[in-house]
Amino acid sequence: MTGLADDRLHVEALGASLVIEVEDPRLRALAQRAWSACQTSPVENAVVVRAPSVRADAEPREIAAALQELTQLVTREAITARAGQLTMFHAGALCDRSSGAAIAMVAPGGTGKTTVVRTLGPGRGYVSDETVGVAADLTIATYCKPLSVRRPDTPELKDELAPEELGLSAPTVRPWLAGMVLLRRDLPRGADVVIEPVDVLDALALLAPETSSLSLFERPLHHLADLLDSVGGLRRVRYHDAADLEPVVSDVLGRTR
Amino acid sequence: MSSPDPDSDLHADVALRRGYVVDEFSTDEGTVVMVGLAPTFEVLRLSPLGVEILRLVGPGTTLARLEQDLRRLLGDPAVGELPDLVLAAVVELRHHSVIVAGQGHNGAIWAPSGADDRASPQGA
Repeated sequence: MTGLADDRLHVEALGASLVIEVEDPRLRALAQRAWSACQTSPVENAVVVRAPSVRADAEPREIAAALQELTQLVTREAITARAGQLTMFHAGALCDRSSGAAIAMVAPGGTGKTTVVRTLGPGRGYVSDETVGVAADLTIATYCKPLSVRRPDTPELKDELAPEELGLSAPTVRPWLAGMVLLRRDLPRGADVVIEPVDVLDALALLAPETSSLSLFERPLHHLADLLDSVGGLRRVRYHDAADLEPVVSDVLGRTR
Repeated sequence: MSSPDPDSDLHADVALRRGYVVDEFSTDEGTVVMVGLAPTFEVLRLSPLGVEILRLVGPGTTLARLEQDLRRLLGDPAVGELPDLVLAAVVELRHHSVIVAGQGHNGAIWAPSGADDRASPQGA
């Protein structure tokens, strides 16, 4: 049996098994749909995440806010569960559906990861739009979470949309990290994409703030430098329109191990 | 009313020690350090002068001694006065906990324990 049994939704996030408890029936159906790509079979001793409560007369925007908070809670628990095991980046990622070659696109929150994943994801494997967890052998523990899509009318509020609602699907093979870029959406409309290699010292300083639990690894900077070296280093990609990143993504997803 | 200068204690005899440095990574191009205490860490790229200061500070190091050692190692700078440059670098390094001045905690004792330093998920 998978998915929702009573008020418990069993999910896998970054390779961690979690149980989302959703008491409110209004939230339950929405959560089940939003988290469909992460659903898995029940696992004993899974970490329990309790969904936020909502008022009986809650407006739709309060429900949306609760779902958004639930996503943050699940993310936090998944990160905590894998701390010290995975090198985790604040990044979106897509992979080739056949080879599993994946690109991690590192960027701070609210600077375009989800838009890039939505734009370039159809036909590819959706790995995450928020957190990418890389194992020592460079395989990636997926986190096919709902995509957090900002509302045009109320930018402070995001809707949690199931990947399939946006034409995305989970990887069919185990992804592995083939390349890593740092996204900077700082060019004017119409400008050509600029790709800049980043030397390892700057890369460490730029990437470290976008990692989680890096300090739990022995010699954390050396750990991160080794990982970067194994994927050909870091490149900074400056752009305006997400669609313009297609050649960058295609290039990395075409790599072989 | 202006707030008191937090670095007014950086006189010639103040003791300087290595701070909460978790890791150092160096290439021919320079050095990056990871500093801090759980759950807050920072990764900084050091200036050439910062690298030398971090290398020199240790038991018994004072600001005056550090200036002497740097003058012996590097000579007088082409631009500016060495004491001014050293003081500015020490202030910067101190603000980022790369070095500790005065009677602060001993970094060797209070080194980070490896506790959780995860960043709060954003954009989720």
